[in-house]
Amino acid sequence: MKGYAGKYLIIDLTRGKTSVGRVDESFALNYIGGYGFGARTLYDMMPKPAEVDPFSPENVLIWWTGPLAGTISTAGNKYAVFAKSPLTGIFGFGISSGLFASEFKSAGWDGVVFTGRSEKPVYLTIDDENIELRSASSIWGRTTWETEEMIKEELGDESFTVASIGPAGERMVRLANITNERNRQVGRCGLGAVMGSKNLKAVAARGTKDVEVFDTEGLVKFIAELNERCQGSATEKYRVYGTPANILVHNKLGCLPSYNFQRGTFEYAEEVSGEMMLKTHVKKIVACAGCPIACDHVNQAREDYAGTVSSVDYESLELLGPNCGIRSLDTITKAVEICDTLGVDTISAGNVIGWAMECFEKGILTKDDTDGVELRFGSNEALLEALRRMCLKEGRLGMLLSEGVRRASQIVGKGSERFAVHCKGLEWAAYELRSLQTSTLGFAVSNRGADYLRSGSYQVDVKGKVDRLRLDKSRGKIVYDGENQYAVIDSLIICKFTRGVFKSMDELAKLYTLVTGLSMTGEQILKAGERIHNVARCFNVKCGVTRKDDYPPPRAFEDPLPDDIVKGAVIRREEYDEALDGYYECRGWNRDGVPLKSKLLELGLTKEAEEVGVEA
Amino acid sequence: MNILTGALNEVELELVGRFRELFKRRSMRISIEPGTSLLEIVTELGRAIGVDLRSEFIGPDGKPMEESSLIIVNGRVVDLTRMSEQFIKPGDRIVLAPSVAGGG
Amino acid sequence: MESRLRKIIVCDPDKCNGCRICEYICSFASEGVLNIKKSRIRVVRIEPFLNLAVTCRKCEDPPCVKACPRDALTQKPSGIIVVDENKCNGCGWCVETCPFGVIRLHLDKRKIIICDYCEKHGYPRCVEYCPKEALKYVTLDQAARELSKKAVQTLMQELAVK
Repeated sequence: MKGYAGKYLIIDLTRGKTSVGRVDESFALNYIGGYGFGARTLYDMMPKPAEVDPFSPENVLIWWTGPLAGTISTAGNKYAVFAKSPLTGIFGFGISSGLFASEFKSAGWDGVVFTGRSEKPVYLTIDDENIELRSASSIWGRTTWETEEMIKEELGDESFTVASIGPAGERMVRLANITNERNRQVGRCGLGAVMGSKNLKAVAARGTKDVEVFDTEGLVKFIAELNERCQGSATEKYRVYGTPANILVHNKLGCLPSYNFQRGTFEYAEEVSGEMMLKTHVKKIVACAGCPIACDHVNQAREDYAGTVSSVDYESLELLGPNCGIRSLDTITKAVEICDTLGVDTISAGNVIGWAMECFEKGILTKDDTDGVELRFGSNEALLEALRRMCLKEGRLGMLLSEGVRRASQIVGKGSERFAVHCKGLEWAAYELRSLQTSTLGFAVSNRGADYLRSGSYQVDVKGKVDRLRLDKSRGKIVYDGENQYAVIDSLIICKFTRGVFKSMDELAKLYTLVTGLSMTGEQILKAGERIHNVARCFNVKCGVTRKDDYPPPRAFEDPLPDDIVKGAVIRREEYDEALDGYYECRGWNRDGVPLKSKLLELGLTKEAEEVGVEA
Repeated sequence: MNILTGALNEVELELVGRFRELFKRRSMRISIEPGTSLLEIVTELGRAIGVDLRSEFIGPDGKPMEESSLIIVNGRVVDLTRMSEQFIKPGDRIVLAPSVAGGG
Repeated sequence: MESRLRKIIVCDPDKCNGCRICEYICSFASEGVLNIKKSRIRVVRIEPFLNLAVTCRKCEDPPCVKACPRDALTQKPSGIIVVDENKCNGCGWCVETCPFGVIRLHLDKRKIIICDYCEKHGYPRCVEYCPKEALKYVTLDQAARELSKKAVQTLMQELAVK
């Protein structure tokens, strides 16, 4: 089999020992790569996840590429990282892009698994067969951007790509992420904090080997066609305005969260729109390695923050902007820079600060609790100061925010849990709860927690295919189909922005076969997607996840939207229950959300059937 | 339909993304005969600005261009396959926008 | 007979976004493999804004040819530099001499590799595959003319605004 390197590294950080694992054909066919490999290995390597403290040496930190990395495949240079999440306490997972995955594969590896904990700060270098844990004592404390430069300099070659954590990850801030090539992040689930807990500062990779594919000629031809399609109308939105184009569209739809999800529109939306940003702040649009689309809009701030440069996408812009009542693109550009360099997820950061601002305005948090910060919606200074303290765990405010919105609201209490907008502990992304109800179902049932990337279920809402202000049983099937497809995309791993580019699952299967030489149909690969999703769910069931965890936060049910366009929109509990039942039925899970033995066996998951599956 | 003068029977048209560039403005008022379909309005608007506006929503194969374009009428998303059945009345608010981008 | 106006590969820094698709396709076009370390074109990214692909410029009186102590390099009338692998011993003098840094040592063969403009294919594959048309295969005169056009357009727009 081609495409895969066929082997992965296993590194025991406690003993500093390295061994090698094999990727065989049946593993490849059943789990594809990325998400699938991660779900399988995390499940197998952590038999009793409920007993594992995410910050203990018993947590396992797993990195995988997919078969496409390092080939010329359209937007296919991606890697994924897995562990038990310190933010959610369940299946933790995140994907990043850029050159890193290409170098990693070119070095001859599909993945790396870290166990244990290093006594002192270290970073790993993967230089073809030469694997080394090097001291990170001189770079500990540095930002992600500094770390990249310092490691390249220390190793004496710019062609090393570096994925690292910043001071937030070192301090085990539960929102900490992993950054490679400055602007690309494994953003969610606090996986940077897991690295920090293991004293692992960075992974640097350089490869010199050919990435062998099965039919190079055929692949190159197919990629020419796909890349051509990527210049068409389906991806124009990414190429021109980038994802910030969503700001005004969502505002017109009443699904732009503002003021910690109290509203679905923002009165200053024009000022922070993608249209405005392109005119006044975007200095350069760049691409990840191997991507013909290029969506990454790099901003340069002006005036107070002159010289500040950061890459601003919709989610970051929205949660650090409207969700905190912020209307200044300069401030948002600065806020993203703080998150990227100190190393926290912009989505979770904007969400938890929005929550804290609402607490402050309601008198639940006082200046005493915030160490003097006037934490009001719309305050530029307060946002930046809160961010900085959160990343560094500085003072009472910093310590509180660093816990993430679920834990922070449990610590504060006083009814603040009611407006902590998360699911399973993962902060809700920038899609409104009540005015995109299929989307809300998709977020809430996801394996990571409130996840905007696992089903694309918002699409039926914004294409007018369903009544987006109501729910019914049929939505379950929509989420189910979307999740299985996305599980394939996340396992190959290919960028979701190519969605309108592939005509069918058969085309994804064709790409897989051209690269690997393993025969695969659209139907088979979709089945693999379903299998992968179920493995991750079984891991979560072992962590204690059941039906009760598959609900959106109270605000979705209790606070009708005040905005004109969608006035009164709210989720009705009985409708949600029905939609959730519909989803479980499609999944072949019982009413409590536990997979049935029969379903797991049908998917070939005998171990899961035995350990987790229930009788009908 | 008279799209150039503001008069009775007015409809508010809002423009987002590339539609702003096409029309060179953020919004405009147009007057319509009651009972005009959305498809007719789009066709006529295109004619007025010298652009095949219909093709922004309906592809050459007759399929809706849902991955690239979006129409909202009074906060409701229009199913692009049914533009000819969507009738517009005075006072309506129409938004022409690029479709939602992102992970979703 | 080659035209006296040689065509070279030029890259527009406004359009180049650092995607490296040229590097991947070059390794395929040159050797039938996928490995950006074997590319004859090199993408330079200088954070945060600069991105540019560079390859052999077909210099007149090329320093690389002069530098080679074993006469392994010759320049064809078309401007393409030819490497005689029997003579090249990978000493790397030419690598150091090239002002654009576009000569590389092949990782397996330990011989020099230089862009041959996909001579056999008849047209540079990197230019064909560049998704943003940042790469162009043109004479320097054409490239200059494009720049003049762009400058005039900008100037006229500025005048119109005033």
